[in-house]
Amino acid sequence: MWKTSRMIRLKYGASLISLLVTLSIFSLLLLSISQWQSSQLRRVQDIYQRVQAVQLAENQKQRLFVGLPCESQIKQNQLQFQISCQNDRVTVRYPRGELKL
Amino acid sequence: MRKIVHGGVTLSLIMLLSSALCLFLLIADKRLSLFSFLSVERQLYVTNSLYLQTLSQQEKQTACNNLVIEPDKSVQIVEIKRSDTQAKDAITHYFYCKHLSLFKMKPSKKIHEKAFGNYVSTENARQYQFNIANKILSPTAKPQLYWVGLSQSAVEISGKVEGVIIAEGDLTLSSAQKTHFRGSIITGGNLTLQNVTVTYDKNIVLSLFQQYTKWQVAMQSWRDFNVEDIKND
Repeated sequence: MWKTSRMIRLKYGASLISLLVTLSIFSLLLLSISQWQSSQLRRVQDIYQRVQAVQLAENQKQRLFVGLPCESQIKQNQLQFQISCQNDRVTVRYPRGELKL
Repeated sequence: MRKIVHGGVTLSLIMLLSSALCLFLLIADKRLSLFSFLSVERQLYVTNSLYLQTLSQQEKQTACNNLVIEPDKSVQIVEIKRSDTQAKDAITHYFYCKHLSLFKMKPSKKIHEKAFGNYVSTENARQYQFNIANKILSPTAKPQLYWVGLSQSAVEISGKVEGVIIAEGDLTLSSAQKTHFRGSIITGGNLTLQNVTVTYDKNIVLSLFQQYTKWQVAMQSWRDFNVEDIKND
């Protein structure tokens, strides 16, 4: 009685191969999803930093407009922004890129 | 074959889980594109508005000069936008142009005695360079506006003079021989005519009225939005 039911259970459970196949598909999916997620994270950082850089560049332009000198470095939100002004052009360098206005 | 089918429950569970994850990520992706678009848009706006800001600053003095004088319109809106854009929704800055007229209203008679305040705006008079009337007025090719200050009260004319005489106070207009003056006379005080007849001339008055009217940028009227649009909303 015991023996037969065990036999049946073994027969209806997943075999080692099918488990491995499932696991590999799952890990592949997980891998691609995590890749996707990290690329999204990078884009989030890009946007976050660019928006701040635009704001800083605008501020510098307005400073120039009213005759104040340009600032050279600004630290905000744990990010370092390097600013250089040449004539009328303002360049803001931030960790993930550069912005010219 | 049969074995794989039986492991399918786990597989489909995993599929379900990962498709839910995918869906979640897709939504996040859409939101990201939106924010990325917004930041680009913001940058574009900043670039254009900064450009327009300097342009407005430069054109502040001349913005209203090219407008046509229309008697019944006292305020006009001037748009400032990039000359290289054709887009209707391009960022535009606005100035209000105010009518700046020497005359509060057009002189309608040959003599307006004691009506200086009604016809002449002293506030706007400061904007103009007048040929302050000499002691003797002589005929000129074009009708002139003669401004007689308070310190002066007697003016002599020789020959047929055309134009408009504005006197802040009393005025005595005299001539050695009989002559006549075409145009209009506005005085703040009493007017005495000696040997001079005055005739009203519509064209002379109108041309001087228009000559001493100009558009000027109204104080604090710079806008980066259109007031009309807001009213319509």
